[in-house]
Amino acid sequence: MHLSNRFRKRRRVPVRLTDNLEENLQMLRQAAGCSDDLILTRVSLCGIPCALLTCEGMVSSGLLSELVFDPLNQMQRTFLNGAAFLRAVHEQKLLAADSALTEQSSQLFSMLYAGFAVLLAEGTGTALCIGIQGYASRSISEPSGELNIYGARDGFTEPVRVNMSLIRRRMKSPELTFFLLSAGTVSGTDLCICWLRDRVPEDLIADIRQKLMSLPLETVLSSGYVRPFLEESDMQLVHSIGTTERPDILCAKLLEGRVGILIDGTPHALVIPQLFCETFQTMDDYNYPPAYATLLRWMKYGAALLALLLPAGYLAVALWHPELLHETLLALLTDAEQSVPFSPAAELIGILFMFEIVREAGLRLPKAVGGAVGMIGGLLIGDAAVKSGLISTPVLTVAALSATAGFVIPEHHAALTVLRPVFILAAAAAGIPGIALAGMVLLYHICGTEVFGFPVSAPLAPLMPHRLQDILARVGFRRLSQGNFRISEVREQEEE
Amino acid sequence: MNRISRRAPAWSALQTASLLLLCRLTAFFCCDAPYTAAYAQGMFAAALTEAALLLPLLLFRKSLRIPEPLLWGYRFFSLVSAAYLSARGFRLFCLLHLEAPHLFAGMFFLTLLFTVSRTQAATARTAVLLLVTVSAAFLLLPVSGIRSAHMISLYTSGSFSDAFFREFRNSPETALFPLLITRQKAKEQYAPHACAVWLTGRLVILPLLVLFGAMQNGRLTAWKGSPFFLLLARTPLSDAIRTDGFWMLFAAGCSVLSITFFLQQAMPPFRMPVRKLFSVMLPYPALTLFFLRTNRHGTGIGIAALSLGILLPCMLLLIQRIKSRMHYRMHYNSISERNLS
Repeated sequence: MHLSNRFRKRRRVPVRLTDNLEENLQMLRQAAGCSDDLILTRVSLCGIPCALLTCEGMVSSGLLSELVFDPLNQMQRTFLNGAAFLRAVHEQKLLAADSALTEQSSQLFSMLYAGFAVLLAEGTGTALCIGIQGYASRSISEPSGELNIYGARDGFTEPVRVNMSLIRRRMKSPELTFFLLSAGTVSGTDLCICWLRDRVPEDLIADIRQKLMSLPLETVLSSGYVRPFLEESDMQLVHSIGTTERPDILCAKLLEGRVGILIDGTPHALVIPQLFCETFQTMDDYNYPPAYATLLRWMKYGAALLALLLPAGYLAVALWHPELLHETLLALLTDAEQSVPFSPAAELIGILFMFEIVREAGLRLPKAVGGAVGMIGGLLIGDAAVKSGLISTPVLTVAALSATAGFVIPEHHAALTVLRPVFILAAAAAGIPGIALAGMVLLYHICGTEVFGFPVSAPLAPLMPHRLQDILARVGFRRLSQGNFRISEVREQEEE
Repeated sequence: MNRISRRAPAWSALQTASLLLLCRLTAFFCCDAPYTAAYAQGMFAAALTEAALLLPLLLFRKSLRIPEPLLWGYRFFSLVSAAYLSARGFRLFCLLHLEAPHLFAGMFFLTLLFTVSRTQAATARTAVLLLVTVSAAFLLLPVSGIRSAHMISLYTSGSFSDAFFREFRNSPETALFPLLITRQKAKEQYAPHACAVWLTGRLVILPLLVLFGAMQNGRLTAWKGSPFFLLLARTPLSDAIRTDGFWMLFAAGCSVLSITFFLQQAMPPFRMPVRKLFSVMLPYPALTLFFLRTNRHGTGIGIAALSLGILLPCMLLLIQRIKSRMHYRMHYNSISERNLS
């Protein structure tokens, strides 16, 4: 891809450079607000007054001397003017693989602040940008949010180009395409769309590109800034666009004909589209024996149901349908509830609220203090509250089981936190029929969620029986590899 | 390469069949007639008759054109069917002896408000998901109930003709077949596949379930605990209706889905704001009717007044918009005429 295409959307007012070096430098300094991180080096090369602009901390000093200073100082030829000099340097001297000529101040700034060295010369309105980026960044490490046992240990890091290389290392196919663009009117953050050309419809890429280029944002600091603009609704509890920190997972998704978006400054890549069933899958599932992986998968489905329905189910049965309980269990519950001053619904909502407070406190505080908060919270809720008679033991058990089950599917933590009280209130109001109504709303919500025409409820709705082998079970690789799954099948299936 | 289109996706054969079967299941859940062998026979015979009636429709589906007045007729019929199923559903849920039926009614209509405002594609997908779940649950029934099934229970008396005619009363969705099988004329296999799935459900699975339920009759006296059993073994106005958790889950779900289906069929292809307004208006008259019917006149009139208060500004806004659009169009036409002359 040509470099000039890379920085497409930067909303600075474009000013053309003039032939006068001093005027240009004056204008650039003014435009940069005399910022102290702008380093200007005046130098005379081949008898032509030149200036080298760099941004402090964004370029590698080693590369600067090796790729720029040394070759330019060794040049002995004479040139008619600055334009001829820059053209010769650009066309005949291989300073860096990434270099471009520009005449616009806006593009010059984009490149300067992206870590390019900019060479200006007297007598020309053109600047030569040389890619010698070398800023400090976190090294590649194991992702903290998506741990696994058997898979690769490298995860995405903050610089987008490092992340691109992590994907390219795994997929050496020429079909793999990267498209860089810039988003955020102030930040000018680099975004990179990646896809396999032979597996993704062109109009899907065009749609995504168009949406990204028209992002009405001043800055893009994380994947959460971009995701709402690609999804169809702001009120989605189930995300139709996934995130991953793992290059191996992103590669697997690209192979299925999906599109990835890398964002500079964040280790989370976006995957378009994400199906609801896939949120229960992990990379390790494909390293375990199929029987064990299937068992784990069913355990996760069970955990999701427990996390969502256990408190509501308990409440519905205790309040409205005690006939469903065994006599011994009923007596136990009655005994426990008699000595508590609050209703079971209030108890449940209160405990879950407390649990969320303790969790949030533990998460935001420094690690050493966070652990202590968790311990104190656990003691407070688990022991003191029961002993003081404020809450009953069965309610505490139900809430703890539900919360623990929720940890099995961290992807849905936000949705579960919102939905649990809704289901509890529905159960308290109308028992099991109330849960059924709340369940229908949730089902409709999931089934109605689409992204770029892909329903997230696939392959269950639309039903694709031959694709259930990776949903209801995890069959062996020999059978899985017989018909490679392509995400475009989902749309085809719905129209059949 | 596949084209990604923005239009609402067309229903697949399975989705159409699922919707039709779930509508029938709603009536099945709401019906409190005792399960007998005659019930199963009547159900089978009625389904066979319906299938015979559908055969010519299936053969001439390509040349079938539904004129606009008939389309409005179907819409009206769908609305009536939705009202019929709502009434059946309410009657059923009144039997649950809920302590706060008005609260449940409110929740039910809030749910409808949400579901009706979704797309038809969402309804169709939900139908498939719900049918798969119900079918999986039905599969558990023979497994768990085989020990308590008695052939002798099949000799319980019952009227074949009652069951036969009841079946026609309980399957209003069949009348919408011409509308549904012409939905995708381009796809050759759409209509036959939809009919095949629908027939399998109606001719085989439902009569067998009723037959199996009949074999469970009398088991209630010795019931020990599994709520799965009661799905089939409930008797009219018995305590079983109150205790059957599993059955209640599906009854409520299927009711919401089938009423939504009929209401969406009844809705003319309005633009989005009008459609939304229609779906927003829906619960108010329904709630008013419910409260008036249960002799809570004050609450009913209160809700009617509240709905008028809320919706009147919306209606005025809509009328204003339509007027301004008409005015703009007239103005635009006059300018273009002037330009042309």
